[in-house]
Amino acid sequence: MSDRPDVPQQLSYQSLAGLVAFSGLAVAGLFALPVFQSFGLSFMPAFWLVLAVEAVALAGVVVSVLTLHRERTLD
Amino acid sequence: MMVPTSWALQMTELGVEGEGIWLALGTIGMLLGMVYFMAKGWDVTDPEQELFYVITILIAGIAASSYLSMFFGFGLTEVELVSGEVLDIYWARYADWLFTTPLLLLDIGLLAGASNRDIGALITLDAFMIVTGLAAALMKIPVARYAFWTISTIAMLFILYYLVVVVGEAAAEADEDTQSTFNVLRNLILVAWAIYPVAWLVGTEGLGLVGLFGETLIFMILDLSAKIGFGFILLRSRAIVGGDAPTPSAEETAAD
Repeated sequence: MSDRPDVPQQLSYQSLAGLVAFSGLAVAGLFALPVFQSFGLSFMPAFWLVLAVEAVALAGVVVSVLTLHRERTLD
Repeated sequence: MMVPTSWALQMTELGVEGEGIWLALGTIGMLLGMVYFMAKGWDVTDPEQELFYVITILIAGIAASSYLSMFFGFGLTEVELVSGEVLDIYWARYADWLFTTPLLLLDIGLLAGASNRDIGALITLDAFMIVTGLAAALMKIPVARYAFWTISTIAMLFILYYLVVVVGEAAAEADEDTQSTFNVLRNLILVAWAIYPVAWLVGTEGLGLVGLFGETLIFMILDLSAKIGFGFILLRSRAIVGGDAPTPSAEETAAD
């Protein structure tokens, strides 16, 4: 961690917003199963829907984290 | 006496019984870890350090939500085996692991300086391991349960091998502090993750040698070690904070 590049970096607010939104989605997904079931879904379809939500949230969080600080150019 | 009785009745109605104490402790432990990491990282401005803080805080936060959902009974279901036996399955555990274990690998992969391709391969393998583990938990036929458990365990062995060999190779090119921290975190993952399939096997979802109460306790200790312990070591290491931070590898590196 000691040999950091000298290129100045700035926070990407788009990634920050994505990070907050996808984190919220991940938390909501953990409590969403009864909501899906209230729409008439049985346990398994509702459960796989929850897992899909978690997978999407994970992908969103990983991409948001990796693009949180974009290298700033001098242009 | 009215309050505890009423509380116990409500918990039973939710489907959560004796093991609820471990779920409550797990929630509190994860929340305390998250708050500690947030407080510690509040003033951090270095972009690279911020990444590790964000990932580690998210891991603790999602795990806390998962434990809370299990405590309130949202994360619990029943699976009836072909024999007629009914198992309580805390499915939220798997949803939590699907989210948090890739983030743990992302943390250690970024620390080691592994390529995005290697980190991506690790995360893909990890998702496969969790989904097959989940399939093992939800199957109604015992043979199918053990077959998926075996597949999931083999995937875990591949992940651990990949972590030691491929990610370890990347870490070997890093500075001494990073190598030390990587070695400690890698060893923590190797030990903690290897216990999970054994806990599943001896627990109610496997052979049933340990009841739901003991099984939940084991998973809570493993989760706290693998997530909060991991974050504590990472974020207090000299590799991340530099300067006067303790070198976690002083004892453990000698054991390597």
